[in-house]
Amino acid sequence: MNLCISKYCSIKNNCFSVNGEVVFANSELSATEFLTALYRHEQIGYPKFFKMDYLAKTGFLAADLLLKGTAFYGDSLKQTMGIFLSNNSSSLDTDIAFQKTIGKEYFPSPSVFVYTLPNIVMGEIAIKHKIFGENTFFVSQEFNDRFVRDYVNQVFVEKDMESAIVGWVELFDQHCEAFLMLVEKEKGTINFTQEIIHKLYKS
Amino acid sequence: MEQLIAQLKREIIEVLNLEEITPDDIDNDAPLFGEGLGLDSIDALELIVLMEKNYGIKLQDANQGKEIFKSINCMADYISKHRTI
Repeated sequence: MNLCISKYCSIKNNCFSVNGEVVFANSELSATEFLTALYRHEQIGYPKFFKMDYLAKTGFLAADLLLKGTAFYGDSLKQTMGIFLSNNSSSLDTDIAFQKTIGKEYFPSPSVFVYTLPNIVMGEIAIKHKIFGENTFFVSQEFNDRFVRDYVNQVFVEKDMESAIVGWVELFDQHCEAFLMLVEKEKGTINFTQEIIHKLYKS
Repeated sequence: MEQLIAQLKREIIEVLNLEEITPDDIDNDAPLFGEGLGLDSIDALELIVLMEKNYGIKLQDANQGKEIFKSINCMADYISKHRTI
């Protein structure tokens, strides 16, 4: 079985790129303001975006724009597509925000609470794109290209999958970073190897 | 009552992050859930918190919510009769 990267994208330093080419950038905004600006620029039209926490917004935007223009974009059910993400800070940014809502008068916010798990970002992506395959969220010190390659290869074999959204979605204290790859079985020109994953992530 | 309705609309937009909706977009009689604003169960919890935090109303029976949150008019009517702050 040969896995390939058919498309990749990144959000880093207030810059959104697809396949290495800058699509939208604005250095004058804060990292979280940039997410809203990117959403409006791409005219996504999904009001629930505004209810998401910043981690979910980051992953949702990156995934939406990764799938845009591909056969996977739209309402078709995707039973053999998976989502495999990782990050460093888990949901700590929102955990802190939730703690603040408890405060002295004790009014914890339900809508903030629901985002106090990092894997919720995958749920938001899966709901929008009707993705029903395997999904796993890992928390690690840094993006581990070797582990990602091995894990994704293994799941493709064991679960008979055809495609997956794979990558890194990190958000903490105005540091925002996403790197997502669309990985497909026998489809694409870039091989899903550790060296290439590392190179694309660092680029 | 009109002042309360206007205030309520602003608070709902803020607390539920309805970024692309203005107070004028919210019909006083339109359903808040399902059609209308299309709010969900988490939004309902947030509205319960709003009632307690801003108006001192603590709902004892969850079933009350169905009637209270039917529309902005229903919510404002209930608040005007039961508010403690």
